Formats: sequence, structure tokens, C-alpha cells
Amino acid sequence: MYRAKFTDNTMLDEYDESGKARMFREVLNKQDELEKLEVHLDNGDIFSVDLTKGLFSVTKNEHTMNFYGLPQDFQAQHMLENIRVIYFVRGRVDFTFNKLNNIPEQVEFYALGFQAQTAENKNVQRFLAIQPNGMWDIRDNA
Amino acid sequence: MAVTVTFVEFNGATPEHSQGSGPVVANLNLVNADVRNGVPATYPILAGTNSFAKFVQAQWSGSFTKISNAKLWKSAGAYGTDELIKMSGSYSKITPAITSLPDVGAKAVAAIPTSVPASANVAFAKSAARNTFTTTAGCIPNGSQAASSPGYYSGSRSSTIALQMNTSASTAAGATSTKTFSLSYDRQ
Repeated sequence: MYRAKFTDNTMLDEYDESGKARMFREVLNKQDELEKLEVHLDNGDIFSVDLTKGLFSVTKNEHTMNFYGLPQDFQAQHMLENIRVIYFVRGRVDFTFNKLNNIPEQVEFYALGFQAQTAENKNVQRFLAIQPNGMWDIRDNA
Repeated sequence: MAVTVTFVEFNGATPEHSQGSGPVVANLNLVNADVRNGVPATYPILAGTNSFAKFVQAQWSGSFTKISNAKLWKSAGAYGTDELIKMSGSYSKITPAITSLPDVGAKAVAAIPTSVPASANVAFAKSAARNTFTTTAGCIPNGSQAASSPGYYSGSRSSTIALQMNTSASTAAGATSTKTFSLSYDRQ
């Protein structure tokens, strides 16, 4: 599930108190105030992106690793502007022509990251592709 | 709510956008007739000819804001001799026929990919304009529904996908091997 944290210290979870799924549109509606987005896996792993710094965090077994999505010297030299969140689920269904009704989705990965523009108007993006089992890699192209 | 995909089929001469959401089918067997749930033994494809074209849409159910970047490919199951499945991810429905799917404009209807395509190859319905042949792959918002009901009638849908099997005189008689297809997409 995702958890969005905003600059006004409010949060939005993917599921509300009654367990009903919340549409990501609600997060996007407050994108200008979005500070951090987290993905929580069923195995307890937590992945997050801090949109104020372009900083990723990966927490596994209560150990956390932080790293920048872009080289620090790049971020130091190129002020990032218009930072926006990247979040989507890469879903997939496999089927034969004899099973076509309500085919259940398999999640290939959760994409969590950011896209931004440099002062030179160059677009950059980085996201973590997080598999449901906790394996992940960092990508710059969907 | 778990996200699911259901395929629906459109038959006859009526444009798909005039046929509502389209009926769910038990199978999409490619046969020698414009029928739903065709039985190959009843409507076998004659060697050297094509199946009737099929026009289908993928419909998503569940809770999400939008679907984009849809890719359809044949992920398993070998072709027999000179057997080929052609596919377009956005085709203006015509009356299904045995005639090879005509190219539209400068765009040929190619064989369905046999590995994950590099870019989206299934477009999305935005309106009746989905009937225009285009490989433009936008995204379709899921309206303001918090959660659509399971079933073919709700949620987002793809543009009309055209499918057809081609054979030659060398194609062996009898049942062909079962193929597995995969559809991937990004949802938010």
C-alpha cells in the first residue's frame, strides 16, 4: 500500500479506516504539498521518496538505507525544479483465449520516484521498481 | 478491491460503440465465422485462408485512477507451420470477414509481438473517436468512481483490438497449440 505525507503533517493511506481503497487522484490533488510517498509491502519492507530532496529510503528488517536518486554533484550543480511524484503499479494479466473473464492482475512492480526539470530545462526522472517480494532496482525510464 | 481484466467481443456490422459494453465471452477461438464462442470443429479455418477477424476490448475493474501504457503480446505457445496471428491495438471495427485485415492509412496490421513490446501497442478509448486507427497510447481516467463493480460493464476499457489468424496451404490440419497472451499496463 502507499502512504502519502504532506507538508502540513497530514497523511493519506491507500486504504481508509474502513479498508476501502483510496484513489491516487486524491494524492495528486495535493501534489504541491506532497513531501514524501511511501510504499509498504506485505513483508514489512518500506520504500519512500522524499520529494523535497530527491532522496530515496529503503527499510528492510528495520535497517534503513538512504540514497539520492541522482548523483549529489548533479543535484548540486543543477537545481531541480517542478519536482513531481512518479507512482504507478505495473500490472499484468496472462490468459489463453479460453479464460477471459475477471482475469486477476499480477503486480510486476510498484514504481516510486520523481521527475523534475533542471534550471537548464532538462527533464530527469528516477524511480524504484519494487517487486512484491521486496527486490528492487532503480530506473530512469518507464 | 483487486483489479481484474475481462475481454469482451463485438460482432456483426454494427460499430462497437453502438453495441454498449459488449458481451463477455467464454472463449475467443479464431474460427471461420463471425460468432461468439466459436467451436473450431464446427467452423474450422480452411488451410490457406484466414480466420474471421475478431474485435475485442479489454475492460478493467477495480479501484484505480487511470490505466496507461498497455502492451499486448503472445507470451507462450508455438505457432504451427505458416500460422500467424495479426493484431492491432486500435482498429476501427469493420464487418468481420475472412478477408485479411486491411491496412489503414499507412499502418499495416502486424503480427502480434512474441515478446514484451518496447512501447505501448494498445490504445485507449476516450470517446467514439476510439474508432480511429491510431497507435496513440494515452491513458483513460476511471471517471470519478471510487471503486467500480466487478464485471465487464464498469471501469476503464481499451480501444478495440483486432485479431485474426492467417494460415497457408502448408498449415497442418487439426487443432493448433494453445497460446498464452499477456497484457501489461500501468495503473495509478
